[in-house]
This record gives sequence, C-alpha cells and structure tokens, in this order.
Amino acid sequence: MTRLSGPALALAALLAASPALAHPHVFVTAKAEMVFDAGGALTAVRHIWQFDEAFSAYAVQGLDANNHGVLTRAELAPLAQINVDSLAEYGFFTWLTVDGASVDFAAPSDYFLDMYGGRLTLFFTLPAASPVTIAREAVLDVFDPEYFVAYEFVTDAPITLVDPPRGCGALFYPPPFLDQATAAALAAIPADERILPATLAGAAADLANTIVVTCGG
Amino acid sequence: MRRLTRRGAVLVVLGIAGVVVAGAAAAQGPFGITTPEAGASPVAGGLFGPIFAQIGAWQTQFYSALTDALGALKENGGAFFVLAGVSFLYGIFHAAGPGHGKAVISAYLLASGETLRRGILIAFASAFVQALVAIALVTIASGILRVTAVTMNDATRILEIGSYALIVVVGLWLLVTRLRGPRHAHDHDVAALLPAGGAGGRRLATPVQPAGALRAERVVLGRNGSGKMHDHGAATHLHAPNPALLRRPLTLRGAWTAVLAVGIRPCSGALIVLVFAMAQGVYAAGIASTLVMAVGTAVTVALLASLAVLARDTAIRLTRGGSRRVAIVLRGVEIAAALAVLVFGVLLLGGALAA
Repeated sequence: MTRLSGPALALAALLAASPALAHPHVFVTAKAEMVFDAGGALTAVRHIWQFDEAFSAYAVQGLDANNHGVLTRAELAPLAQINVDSLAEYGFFTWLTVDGASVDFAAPSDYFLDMYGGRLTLFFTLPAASPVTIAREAVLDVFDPEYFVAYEFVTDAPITLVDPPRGCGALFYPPPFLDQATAAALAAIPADERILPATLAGAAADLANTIVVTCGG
Repeated sequence: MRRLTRRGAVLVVLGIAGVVVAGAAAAQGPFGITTPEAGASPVAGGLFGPIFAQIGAWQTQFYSALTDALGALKENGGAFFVLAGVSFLYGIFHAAGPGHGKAVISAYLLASGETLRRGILIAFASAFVQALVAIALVTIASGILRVTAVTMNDATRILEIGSYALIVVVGLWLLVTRLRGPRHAHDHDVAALLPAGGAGGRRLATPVQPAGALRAERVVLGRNGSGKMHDHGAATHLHAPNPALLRRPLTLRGAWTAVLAVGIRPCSGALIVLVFAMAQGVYAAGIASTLVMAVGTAVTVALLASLAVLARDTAIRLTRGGSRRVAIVLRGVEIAAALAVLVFGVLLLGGALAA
C-alpha cells in the first residue's frame, strides 16, 4: 500500500491546489460612508460600487426597454432589486465589528443603479440592526472571500464619516496583496496591532479592504 | 462482495457530505446575473497563498488590458494584435482558477488510463468546446433574442447542471468499470514501461474496446450479468500494448462524454467579454479573443493533466516487484481517480441543485 502513496499524494496535491485559486470576473471600484445619528451612534453603512465596463455591458443587456440608448434609473430598477436580493446571500460582502463585537445588518434600503460613463453604479444603504455606539473602534471589511468580485477602493476619500461624534476618525487599509509597498508596511506591524476581526484574521484577510474607525482616542 | 459493500457505504457517506457542504454555497451569483465557477474557495492563506494572490493580480491586469484592447479596436485596428496576445495570456492564467475542468480532466485521464498525447488532445478539445458553447450562447441569446442578463444566467445554470450531471455519469461509469475488474476499455502506453519479460500474466488478445462511455458501460454490465465479480486475476493480469493502437490516428474516441461534461458549462468570463464586445460593435474581435483565450486555457489544463499522467507513469516505472505490483498500483490509481471524478460530480451537482 505504501507504494501508492507517491502518486496518490501527487494527485491529491494537484487536485487540492487547483480549486483554491482566484478567479475574479467582476471588478468593483468602491467607496463607503458610515452614517451616525444625532446621539453619535453608528446607524448605517452606505456603499457606492461602480462596476467595470465589461460587466456593466453584460449586466444591462436587454434592459434598454425604450431602445433610446440611455438607461434610466427606472429601467435599471429591476436589476438593482436582483442585485441586493442576491447580495444578501453573500452578506453584502460587508463585515462590521464595533469594539470587537460583530454587528448585524437589517435589509438594505435606498438602493438604485445609475450609469456613469458606461459604468453601472450600485448605491445601497445597509442599516445596522440597531444603532451602535463606538467606544473605541469599529472595523469595516469589504471584500469577496471567493474573489469572484474584486473590490478596489478609490484612493481619493475611500471612506467618509457622515455626522461622526467628535474625536472619531477613519483610516483605510487596502488589501495587502494589491500593493506590495503596503503589504510590506503592514507586515512590519506586529501581528497583535493589526486590527482585524478574529474571524477574518486568517486567509481571507489578504483580500479585505479594511476601514478602521477610532473614537475617543 | 464485502469489499464492494464497504466501498458503497463510503461512497454514500462522501456523497451526502458533499451535497451538504456544496449546498451551503449560493449559486445564483452575488449580483444575480453571473455565477462563480464552482469550486471557488477562499483565496488561500497558507503555503501557496502568495502564489494564488499573485496569479489573481496578474489575471486582473490581463483582464483589464483585454477589455481596454476591445474598447480600443473601434478606433484602431492594430489593437487586434494586442487583443490576441492579451487574450492568450489571460487564458493561461485564468485557467489556473476554479472551473475549466482541470481536476476533472486530470482525474479522468488517470482513471481511464489515457496516454499523454490523448490527454493533451482531450484538454484542448474541452477548452474549445467551452469556448464554442459561450460563442453560441451569446450569439443566440444576446445577438438574436436580446435577452437580459438574468435570462442568460438561467441558461448558464441549465448548462451547468447538465455539465455536472455528465461528470457524475462519467465518474460512475469509470468507477463501475474499474471495480468490475482490470479489463479496461482503453489503451495506454504505461505497459511500454513495464519490465521486459514481465510475469506470464494472461494477455488479452483484444485489450481495447473502442467504445463511447455508454457503450462500454453496457458491455461491462452485460458481461457480468450474473452479478459475480468477473476477475481474471488482477494480480497477474498484464497490460500489453497493442502496437496497432499506438499507430492509430489521434482522435477523441471514447472521451467525448468527458469532453462535453467539462465543456458545456461556459465560462462567465467568456460570456462577459463576448457581450461587451457585442455592445462595443466589435463582436468578431470578441469571438477571436474567446478562441485565443481557449488556446491559453488549454495550455494550462493540458500542462496540469500531463503532470498527472507523468506522475502516474513515473510511479509505475519506479514500482519494483514485477508486473504483479505494477498492476496493483495501476489499479489503485485508477480506482482512486474514478472515485475522485464521481465525488467532484456529486459535489458540483449537489451545489448547483441546492442553490
């Protein structure tokens, strides 16, 4: 039986390795907003996701109902509905923890699609199940762990805090593998200072766009 | 018989586990209009994590270069050569991702005892079937029927389920024929590597039944109608190469089911590129790009499949102890690989149906 182990191992390695590779087909340029209420509690995350031109063309095929070459928000409304319905199964690719506890989201609100320069753009708001006050810090991760969707945040104002309490500020950390210099910088930080939710601190962290909001520093 | 029962039990357990695991994955796709290839899993950390991440980064660059080149074609015909080059490179890196049947093809080649040459041919055939299915789907659905992306996704899902069901069929057939006994419905050149003058095993006058998967299945079932294991001594049976077979023209004989099983599920990337090319008014270039991409994909799949075949052949060559040991090793590899094809099929089909 030991004679089988060589080829069996080789085969197992081959088969195990292949499905784990990345395979993005949808490329999203993203920015996010975190919204606070009058009492200073975090109430919602707003997303603006702009799709790449090829996926945009694919997504809107057959939707130009009046055939006048311009897609209106109304013509795109059914697609926006399908988008948010489907994203629910993927947790909207959005993970939020406040002071170490993960925050649940209610159903998305205020969602719509628009076309900007040939690029389909999805706007939606994810309300927190209940408003949550940040004592020390909130960590927002946006990414697709399967890497079917590649998220890249804009460099200019990737995160905006809307009506934050005094003393809160946000920092954006791109996925380390996208940027070798950033990766090196992050690698230099001791592991226990790298602020990531425990569930994401493993393999998938390579892909996470991470926003850290620090309050009352 | 007891051995068979135990294998059956293991199979059932594996199958159920597979359906449960795969069923957890959503198959409608995150935006409801395009579905990830099955088998996608978190981009590794671990030993190979950086390599996967790098391949992902390259893919992203080639993809954006590809869509840029398609866009540029409208103004500049010279962009076609850029497009062809980028499509080829994208195909090579892209096939390293999930889907494209690398695992299924590799396991199929091991289980059916295919030669290296036929393995490469099968890899290329499946890549081209996949490209042609994508082209046919987009031409009809987008070009003629002007469907929405939702309808396109539904069509893809039907093809996907067909593909996975065929993988189950191929896996079952392989497993049944391998378990039934060492009389294989194939030829392979492994025997050429055997020690000269191997033990006097019983040589089959006609070691090959050139038959499609289903025909061969019927032959096997008919032969063992009694239910008794047909066994002419796995231990002493020797695979003699039939010289006439090695000289035969290289065809897909018998492998069409496997080629179709892998090929009829179109790649989401090809669909997106084709629809984009059509929207840009450069559909012919989109078709050309898809075909060149298939060449790149085929190169990667053929490379990985060749590694599997070479690993097997090396194992056979290194096995000492004469033809008896060789036969045992060979049979073990084939049964394990057949089981792998079946398990892939069940996992994929379960995942697709559960969604």
